[in-house]
Amino acid sequence: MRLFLSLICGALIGAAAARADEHVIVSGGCALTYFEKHKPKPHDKYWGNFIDAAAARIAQIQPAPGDQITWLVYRPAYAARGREENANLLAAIRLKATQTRARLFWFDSQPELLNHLNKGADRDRVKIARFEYFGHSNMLCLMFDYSNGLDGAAFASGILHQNDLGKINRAIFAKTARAQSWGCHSGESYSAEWKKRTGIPMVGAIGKTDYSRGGLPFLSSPNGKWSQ
Amino acid sequence: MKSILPLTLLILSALTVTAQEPAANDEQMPIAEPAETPADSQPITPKPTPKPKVIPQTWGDRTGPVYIGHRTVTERHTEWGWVWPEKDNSRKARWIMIQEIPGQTKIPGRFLDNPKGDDHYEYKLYGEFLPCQGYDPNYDLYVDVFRIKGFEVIGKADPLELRPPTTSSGNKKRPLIAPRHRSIDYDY
Repeated sequence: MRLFLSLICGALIGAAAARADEHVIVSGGCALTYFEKHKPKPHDKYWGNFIDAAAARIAQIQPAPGDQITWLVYRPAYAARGREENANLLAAIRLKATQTRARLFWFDSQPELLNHLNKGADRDRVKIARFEYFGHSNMLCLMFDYSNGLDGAAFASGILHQNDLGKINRAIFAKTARAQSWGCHSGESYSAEWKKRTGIPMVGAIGKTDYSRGGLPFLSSPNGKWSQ
Repeated sequence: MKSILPLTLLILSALTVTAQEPAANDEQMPIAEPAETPADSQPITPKPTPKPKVIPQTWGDRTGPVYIGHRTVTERHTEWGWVWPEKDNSRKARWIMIQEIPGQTKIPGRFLDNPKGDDHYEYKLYGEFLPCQGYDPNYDLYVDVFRIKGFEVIGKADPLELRPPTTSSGNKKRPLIAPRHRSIDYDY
Protein backbone atom coordinates (compact mmCIF):
# COMPACT_ATOMS: atom_id res chain seq x y z
CA MET A 1 0.00 0.00 0.00
CA ARG A 2 2.81 2.35 0.94
CA LEU A 3 4.57 1.58 -2.34
CA PHE A 4 1.37 2.23 -4.25
CA LEU A 5 0.94 5.64 -2.60
CA SER A 6 4.56 6.50 -3.35
CA LEU A 7 4.02 5.66 -6.99
CA ILE A 8 0.88 7.78 -7.11
CA CYS A 9 2.69 10.70 -5.47
CA GLY A 10 5.61 10.29 -7.83
CA ALA A 11 3.30 10.33 -10.81
CA LEU A 12 1.58 13.46 -9.55
CA ILE A 13 4.88 15.21 -8.95
CA GLY A 14 6.00 14.17 -12.40
CA ALA A 15 2.82 15.50 -13.92
CA ALA A 16 3.30 18.78 -12.08
CA ALA A 17 6.85 19.01 -13.39
CA ALA A 18 5.59 18.34 -16.93
CA ARG A 19 3.29 21.33 -16.64
CA ALA A 20 6.15 23.84 -16.42
CA ASP A 21 5.68 26.37 -19.17
CA GLU A 22 7.85 29.00 -20.76
CA HIS A 23 6.66 32.48 -21.66
CA VAL A 24 8.76 33.84 -24.52
CA ILE A 25 9.03 37.59 -25.07
CA VAL A 26 11.05 38.77 -28.08
CA SER A 27 12.44 42.26 -28.60
CA GLY A 28 13.54 43.12 -32.11
CA GLY A 29 16.20 45.73 -32.76
CA CYS A 30 16.04 49.47 -33.24
CA ALA A 31 17.11 51.39 -36.32
CA LEU A 32 20.24 53.51 -36.56
CA THR A 33 19.84 57.28 -36.50
CA TYR A 34 22.52 57.40 -39.18
CA PHE A 35 20.08 55.80 -41.62
CA GLU A 36 16.88 57.37 -40.38
CA LYS A 37 17.80 61.01 -39.87
CA HIS A 38 17.18 62.02 -43.50
CA LYS A 39 13.76 60.41 -43.71
CA PRO A 40 10.47 62.27 -43.50
CA LYS A 41 9.29 59.96 -40.71
CA PRO A 42 12.38 58.65 -38.93
CA HIS A 43 11.98 55.48 -36.90
CA ASP A 44 13.26 54.86 -33.41
CA LYS A 45 14.33 58.29 -32.23
CA TYR A 46 14.53 56.55 -28.87
CA TRP A 47 16.49 53.30 -28.92
CA GLY A 48 14.56 51.57 -26.16
CA ASN A 49 11.01 51.40 -27.53
CA PHE A 50 11.00 47.63 -27.91
CA ILE A 51 12.87 47.11 -24.66
CA ASP A 52 10.64 49.23 -22.46
CA ALA A 53 7.50 47.78 -24.02
CA ALA A 54 8.71 44.23 -23.46
CA ALA A 55 9.63 44.99 -19.86
CA ALA A 56 6.20 46.51 -19.29
CA ARG A 57 4.58 43.39 -20.71
CA ILE A 58 6.73 41.09 -18.60
CA ALA A 59 5.58 42.98 -15.52
CA GLN A 60 1.97 42.23 -16.50
CA ILE A 61 2.42 38.50 -17.00
CA GLN A 62 1.35 36.33 -14.11
CA PRO A 63 3.12 33.03 -14.64
CA ALA A 64 1.96 29.91 -12.85
CA PRO A 65 4.30 28.57 -10.16
CA GLY A 66 7.23 26.86 -11.85
CA ASP A 67 6.77 28.71 -15.14
CA GLN A 68 9.61 30.77 -16.50
CA ILE A 69 9.69 33.96 -18.52
CA THR A 70 12.35 34.19 -21.20
CA TRP A 71 13.26 37.51 -22.80
CA LEU A 72 15.06 37.22 -26.12
CA VAL A 73 16.68 40.39 -27.44
CA TYR A 74 18.24 40.90 -30.88
CA ARG A 75 21.75 41.88 -29.86
CA PRO A 76 23.40 43.21 -33.07
CA ALA A 77 20.99 46.12 -33.35
CA TYR A 78 21.58 47.37 -29.81
CA ALA A 79 25.32 46.88 -30.08
CA ALA A 80 25.35 49.00 -33.25
CA ARG A 81 23.05 51.68 -31.86
CA GLY A 82 25.20 51.75 -28.73
CA ARG A 83 28.27 52.43 -30.84
CA GLU A 84 26.37 55.22 -32.54
CA GLU A 85 25.28 56.78 -29.25
CA ASN A 86 28.57 56.03 -27.51
CA ALA A 87 26.64 54.18 -24.83
CA ASN A 88 26.63 50.61 -23.60
CA LEU A 89 23.08 49.70 -24.45
CA LEU A 90 23.67 46.01 -23.88
CA ALA A 91 24.52 46.78 -20.26
CA ALA A 92 21.42 48.94 -20.00
CA ILE A 93 19.28 46.07 -21.28
CA ARG A 94 20.95 43.63 -18.90
CA LEU A 95 20.16 45.99 -16.04
CA LYS A 96 16.57 46.27 -17.20
CA ALA A 97 16.29 42.50 -17.28
CA THR A 98 17.45 42.22 -13.68
CA GLN A 99 14.51 44.42 -12.73
CA THR A 100 12.10 41.91 -14.25
CA ARG A 101 11.42 38.28 -13.51
CA ALA A 102 12.67 37.26 -16.94
CA ARG A 103 15.80 35.41 -17.94
CA LEU A 104 17.57 37.41 -20.64
CA PHE A 105 18.94 35.69 -23.74
CA TRP A 106 20.59 37.41 -26.67
CA PHE A 107 20.11 36.21 -30.21
CA ASP A 108 22.06 37.33 -33.26
CA SER A 109 20.05 35.78 -36.08
CA GLN A 110 16.78 34.13 -36.97
CA PRO A 111 18.28 30.60 -36.72
CA GLU A 112 19.37 31.35 -33.15
CA LEU A 113 15.87 32.46 -32.25
CA LEU A 114 14.34 29.37 -33.82
CA ASN A 115 16.91 27.21 -32.08
CA HIS A 116 15.79 28.59 -28.74
CA LEU A 117 12.14 28.05 -29.53
CA ASN A 118 12.65 24.51 -30.76
CA LYS A 119 15.44 23.35 -28.49
CA GLY A 120 15.95 25.94 -25.78
CA ALA A 121 14.58 23.52 -23.20
CA ASP A 122 13.34 19.95 -22.98
CA ARG A 123 10.24 20.64 -25.03
CA ASP A 124 8.62 17.40 -23.91
CA ARG A 125 8.52 18.90 -20.45
CA VAL A 126 8.70 22.68 -20.92
CA LYS A 127 6.16 23.90 -23.43
CA ILE A 128 5.87 27.42 -24.72
CA ALA A 129 2.70 28.93 -23.31
CA ARG A 130 3.20 32.41 -24.71
CA PHE A 131 5.05 34.06 -27.57
CA GLU A 132 4.99 37.83 -27.87
CA TYR A 133 6.98 40.05 -30.19
CA PHE A 134 7.93 43.71 -29.90
CA GLY A 135 9.66 45.25 -32.89
CA HIS A 136 9.46 46.25 -36.51
CA SER A 137 7.28 44.21 -38.82
CA ASN A 138 5.28 44.34 -41.98
CA MET A 139 2.35 42.14 -42.88
CA LEU A 140 4.64 39.30 -43.97
CA CYS A 141 7.48 39.21 -41.49
CA LEU A 142 8.91 40.18 -38.16
CA MET A 143 12.05 42.28 -38.66
CA PHE A 144 14.54 42.14 -35.82
CA ASP A 145 17.05 43.96 -37.99
CA TYR A 146 15.35 46.95 -39.56
CA SER A 147 17.40 49.90 -40.86
CA ASN A 148 20.27 48.89 -38.64
CA GLY A 149 22.48 46.68 -40.78
CA LEU A 150 21.08 48.10 -44.03
CA ASP A 151 19.41 51.44 -44.71
CA GLY A 152 15.65 50.98 -44.71
CA ALA A 153 15.99 47.23 -45.04
CA ALA A 154 17.07 44.14 -43.14
CA PHE A 155 19.53 41.37 -43.51
CA ALA A 156 17.63 38.24 -44.44
CA SER A 157 19.06 36.53 -41.38
CA GLY A 158 17.46 39.24 -39.25
CA ILE A 159 13.85 38.56 -40.11
CA LEU A 160 11.32 35.83 -39.44
CA HIS A 161 9.26 35.70 -42.60
CA GLN A 162 5.94 33.94 -42.64
CA ASN A 163 7.40 31.59 -45.23
CA ASP A 164 9.88 30.48 -42.55
CA LEU A 165 7.30 29.61 -39.93
CA GLY A 166 7.41 25.98 -40.99
CA LYS A 167 10.80 25.84 -39.25
CA ILE A 168 9.02 26.08 -35.91
CA ASN A 169 8.14 22.72 -34.43
CA ARG A 170 4.42 22.73 -33.70
CA ALA A 171 4.93 20.39 -30.74
CA ILE A 172 6.78 23.00 -28.69
CA PHE A 173 3.64 24.89 -27.78
CA ALA A 174 1.28 24.22 -24.93
CA LYS A 175 -2.26 23.44 -26.04
CA THR A 176 -3.54 26.69 -24.59
CA ALA A 177 -0.62 28.77 -25.85
CA ARG A 178 -1.20 32.26 -27.12
CA ALA A 179 0.85 34.55 -29.30
CA GLN A 180 0.84 38.22 -30.13
CA SER A 181 2.84 40.46 -32.39
CA TRP A 182 2.88 44.04 -31.16
CA GLY A 183 4.47 45.18 -34.43
CA CYS A 184 2.72 46.89 -37.33
CA HIS A 185 0.49 45.05 -39.80
CA SER A 186 0.99 41.52 -38.43
CA GLY A 187 -2.76 40.96 -38.30
CA GLU A 188 -3.03 41.48 -42.06
CA SER A 189 -1.35 38.20 -42.99
CA TYR A 190 1.26 37.01 -40.51
CA SER A 191 -1.19 36.05 -37.78
CA ALA A 192 -3.14 33.75 -40.07
CA GLU A 193 0.01 32.11 -41.36
CA TRP A 194 1.31 31.68 -37.82
CA LYS A 195 -1.92 29.91 -36.84
CA LYS A 196 -1.73 27.73 -39.93
CA ARG A 197 1.90 26.72 -39.32
CA THR A 198 1.96 26.41 -35.54
CA GLY A 199 -1.65 25.72 -34.66
CA ILE A 200 -1.51 28.60 -32.17
CA PRO A 201 -3.57 31.77 -32.65
CA MET A 202 -1.63 35.00 -32.91
CA VAL A 203 -3.06 38.43 -32.23
CA GLY A 204 -1.71 41.01 -34.64
CA ALA A 205 -2.43 44.58 -35.63
CA ILE A 206 -4.44 45.68 -38.60
CA GLY A 207 -2.60 48.90 -39.36
CA LYS A 208 0.24 50.45 -37.46
CA THR A 209 1.29 50.36 -33.85
CA ASP A 210 3.04 53.20 -32.07
CA TYR A 211 5.58 52.90 -29.25
CA SER A 212 6.22 56.60 -28.81
CA ARG A 213 4.24 57.00 -25.58
CA GLY A 214 6.35 54.45 -23.76
CA GLY A 215 5.09 51.19 -22.29
CA LEU A 216 2.93 48.98 -24.45
CA PRO A 217 2.33 50.18 -28.00
CA PHE A 218 -1.06 51.36 -29.15
CA LEU A 219 -2.90 51.12 -32.45
CA SER A 220 -2.26 54.29 -34.41
CA SER A 221 -4.03 53.79 -37.74
CA PRO A 222 -7.47 55.39 -38.11
CA ASN A 223 -9.16 52.04 -38.65
CA GLY A 224 -6.62 49.99 -36.74
CA LYS A 225 -7.66 47.00 -34.69
CA TRP A 226 -6.25 43.82 -33.22
CA SER A 227 -6.99 40.68 -35.18
CA GLN A 228 -6.13 36.99 -35.15
CA MET B 1 -9.93 94.72 11.00
CA LYS B 2 -11.97 97.87 10.29
CA SER B 3 -8.93 100.04 10.98
CA ILE B 4 -6.81 98.10 8.45
CA LEU B 5 -9.26 98.35 5.54
CA PRO B 6 -8.95 102.11 4.80
CA LEU B 7 -5.18 101.80 4.99
CA THR B 8 -5.19 98.91 2.52
CA LEU B 9 -7.40 100.84 0.10
CA LEU B 10 -5.09 103.82 0.34
CA ILE B 11 -2.05 101.70 -0.50
CA LEU B 12 -3.84 100.03 -3.42
CA SER B 13 -4.91 103.37 -4.93
CA ALA B 14 -1.37 104.68 -4.62
CA LEU B 15 -0.02 101.59 -6.41
CA THR B 16 -2.58 102.03 -9.19
CA VAL B 17 -1.52 105.60 -9.79
CA THR B 18 2.12 104.57 -9.77
CA ALA B 19 1.44 101.89 -12.35
CA GLN B 20 -0.34 104.30 -14.68
CA GLU B 21 2.31 106.98 -14.63
CA PRO B 22 4.74 105.40 -17.09
CA ALA B 23 1.89 104.96 -19.57
CA ALA B 24 1.27 108.70 -19.47
CA ASN B 25 4.93 109.27 -20.16
CA ASP B 26 4.97 106.86 -23.12
CA GLU B 27 3.57 109.52 -25.43
CA GLN B 28 6.55 111.72 -24.80
CA MET B 29 9.04 108.98 -25.66
CA PRO B 30 10.16 108.15 -29.17
CA ILE B 31 8.45 105.06 -30.51
CA ALA B 32 11.61 103.33 -31.60
CA GLU B 33 14.78 104.75 -30.29
CA PRO B 34 17.89 103.14 -31.78
CA ALA B 35 19.76 101.16 -29.21
CA GLU B 36 23.08 102.54 -28.19
CA THR B 37 25.95 100.72 -29.83
CA PRO B 38 28.57 99.63 -27.35
CA ALA B 39 31.93 101.13 -28.14
CA ASP B 40 33.67 97.78 -28.36
CA SER B 41 31.08 95.95 -30.51
CA GLN B 42 32.06 94.44 -33.85
CA PRO B 43 30.15 95.19 -37.05
CA ILE B 44 27.64 92.47 -37.86
CA THR B 45 28.66 90.46 -40.87
CA PRO B 46 26.24 88.18 -42.68
CA LYS B 47 26.81 84.47 -42.17
CA PRO B 48 28.61 82.94 -45.10
CA THR B 49 26.35 80.87 -47.32
CA PRO B 50 27.18 77.20 -46.77
CA LYS B 51 28.93 75.65 -49.70
CA PRO B 52 26.76 73.17 -51.58
CA LYS B 53 27.71 69.68 -50.56
CA VAL B 54 29.38 67.70 -53.28
CA ILE B 55 30.43 64.11 -53.66
CA PRO B 56 34.23 63.82 -53.74
CA GLN B 57 35.70 62.53 -56.97
CA THR B 58 37.26 59.62 -55.13
CA TRP B 59 36.78 58.28 -51.63
CA GLY B 60 37.87 55.36 -49.48
CA ASP B 61 39.81 52.25 -50.31
CA ARG B 62 40.03 51.83 -54.09
CA THR B 63 41.86 48.57 -54.32
CA GLY B 64 40.62 45.24 -55.56
CA PRO B 65 37.95 44.31 -58.08
CA VAL B 66 36.10 47.19 -59.75
CA TYR B 67 32.35 47.29 -60.28
CA ILE B 68 30.29 49.88 -62.07
CA GLY B 69 27.42 51.17 -59.99
CA HIS B 70 24.42 53.02 -61.44
CA ARG B 71 22.47 54.75 -58.72
CA THR B 72 18.75 54.23 -59.27
CA VAL B 73 16.23 55.83 -56.97
CA THR B 74 12.60 54.76 -57.09
CA GLU B 75 9.73 55.90 -54.96
CA ARG B 76 9.71 52.99 -52.56
CA HIS B 77 12.61 50.63 -53.17
CA THR B 78 15.21 50.63 -50.43
CA GLU B 79 17.94 49.27 -52.71
CA TRP B 80 20.83 51.40 -53.92
CA GLY B 81 20.74 50.59 -57.63
CA TRP B 82 22.42 48.45 -60.29
CA VAL B 83 25.93 47.06 -60.12
CA TRP B 84 27.94 45.03 -62.61
CA PRO B 85 31.62 44.07 -62.96
CA GLU B 86 33.68 46.66 -64.83
CA LYS B 87 34.68 44.11 -67.44
CA ASP B 88 31.02 43.38 -68.27
CA ASN B 89 28.23 45.66 -69.40
CA SER B 90 24.98 46.68 -67.79
CA ARG B 91 23.22 43.61 -69.15
CA LYS B 92 24.98 41.74 -66.34
CA ALA B 93 23.74 44.22 -63.74
CA ARG B 94 22.41 43.08 -60.39
CA TRP B 95 19.86 45.03 -58.38
CA ILE B 96 21.52 45.44 -55.01
CA MET B 97 21.63 46.95 -51.57
CA ILE B 98 24.84 48.47 -50.25
CA GLN B 99 26.09 47.81 -46.78
CA GLU B 100 27.63 50.84 -45.12
CA ILE B 101 29.44 50.74 -41.84
CA PRO B 102 28.73 54.05 -40.08
CA GLY B 103 31.94 55.83 -39.29
CA GLN B 104 33.91 53.71 -41.73
CA THR B 105 32.31 53.34 -45.13
CA LYS B 106 29.49 55.11 -46.91
CA ILE B 107 27.60 55.36 -50.17
CA PRO B 108 28.42 58.42 -52.34
CA GLY B 109 25.05 60.04 -51.68
CA ARG B 110 25.87 60.22 -47.97
CA PHE B 111 27.99 63.28 -48.82
CA LEU B 112 24.86 65.13 -49.90
CA ASP B 113 22.10 66.47 -47.70
CA ASN B 114 19.82 63.92 -49.29
CA PRO B 115 21.42 60.48 -49.75
CA LYS B 116 19.04 59.88 -52.66
CA GLY B 117 20.21 63.02 -54.44
CA ASP B 118 22.49 61.25 -56.90
CA ASP B 119 19.91 59.46 -59.04
CA HIS B 120 21.43 58.13 -62.29
CA TYR B 121 24.98 58.91 -61.33
CA GLU B 122 27.51 56.24 -62.14
CA TYR B 123 30.49 55.26 -60.06
CA LYS B 124 33.32 52.84 -59.95
CA LEU B 125 32.61 50.88 -56.79
CA TYR B 126 35.17 49.00 -54.76
CA GLY B 127 34.19 46.28 -52.34
CA GLU B 128 32.68 42.84 -52.41
CA PHE B 129 29.39 41.01 -52.50
CA LEU B 130 28.37 39.44 -49.20
CA PRO B 131 27.31 35.81 -49.06
CA CYS B 132 23.99 36.84 -47.51
CA GLN B 133 20.99 38.71 -48.85
CA GLY B 134 19.06 41.76 -47.80
CA TYR B 135 15.30 42.07 -47.46
CA ASP B 136 13.33 45.00 -48.85
CA PRO B 137 10.19 45.17 -46.71
CA ASN B 138 8.41 47.47 -49.14
CA TYR B 139 8.33 44.82 -51.85
CA ASP B 140 8.92 41.60 -49.90
CA LEU B 141 12.07 41.31 -51.95
CA TYR B 142 15.37 39.53 -51.33
CA VAL B 143 18.40 41.04 -53.06
CA ASP B 144 22.18 40.76 -53.05
CA VAL B 145 24.23 42.96 -50.74
CA PHE B 146 27.41 44.76 -51.77
CA ARG B 147 29.81 45.85 -49.03
CA ILE B 148 31.31 49.12 -50.22
CA LYS B 149 34.80 50.22 -49.24
CA GLY B 150 35.45 53.04 -51.73
CA PHE B 151 34.29 54.71 -54.94
CA GLU B 152 35.20 56.97 -57.83
CA VAL B 153 32.67 59.24 -59.54
CA ILE B 154 32.17 58.58 -63.26
CA GLY B 155 29.38 61.12 -63.75
CA LYS B 156 25.75 61.54 -64.67
CA ALA B 157 24.40 58.86 -66.99
CA ASP B 158 21.26 58.09 -68.90
CA PRO B 159 18.74 55.89 -67.08
CA LEU B 160 19.25 52.21 -67.70
CA GLU B 161 16.65 50.21 -69.50
CA LEU B 162 16.42 47.90 -66.55
CA ARG B 163 13.47 47.57 -64.27
CA PRO B 164 13.94 47.01 -60.56
CA PRO B 165 12.23 43.84 -59.40
CA THR B 166 9.11 44.13 -57.32
CA THR B 167 8.94 40.55 -56.17
CA SER B 168 11.46 37.83 -55.52
CA SER B 169 9.50 35.25 -57.44
CA GLY B 170 8.03 37.19 -60.37
CA ASN B 171 9.26 37.33 -63.92
CA LYS B 172 11.96 39.71 -65.09
CA LYS B 173 9.70 42.10 -66.99
CA ARG B 174 8.67 44.43 -64.24
CA PRO B 175 7.64 48.07 -64.23
CA LEU B 176 10.30 50.59 -63.32
CA ILE B 177 8.22 51.92 -60.48
CA ALA B 178 5.71 49.50 -59.13
CA PRO B 179 2.12 50.65 -58.78
CA ARG B 180 1.48 51.67 -55.20
CA HIS B 181 -0.91 48.82 -54.55
CA ARG B 182 1.82 46.28 -55.28
CA SER B 183 4.01 47.39 -52.44
CA ILE B 184 3.52 46.84 -48.77
CA ASP B 185 2.69 49.56 -46.31
CA TYR B 186 6.10 50.67 -45.16
CA ASP B 187 5.28 52.37 -41.91
CA TYR B 188 6.61 49.75 -39.59
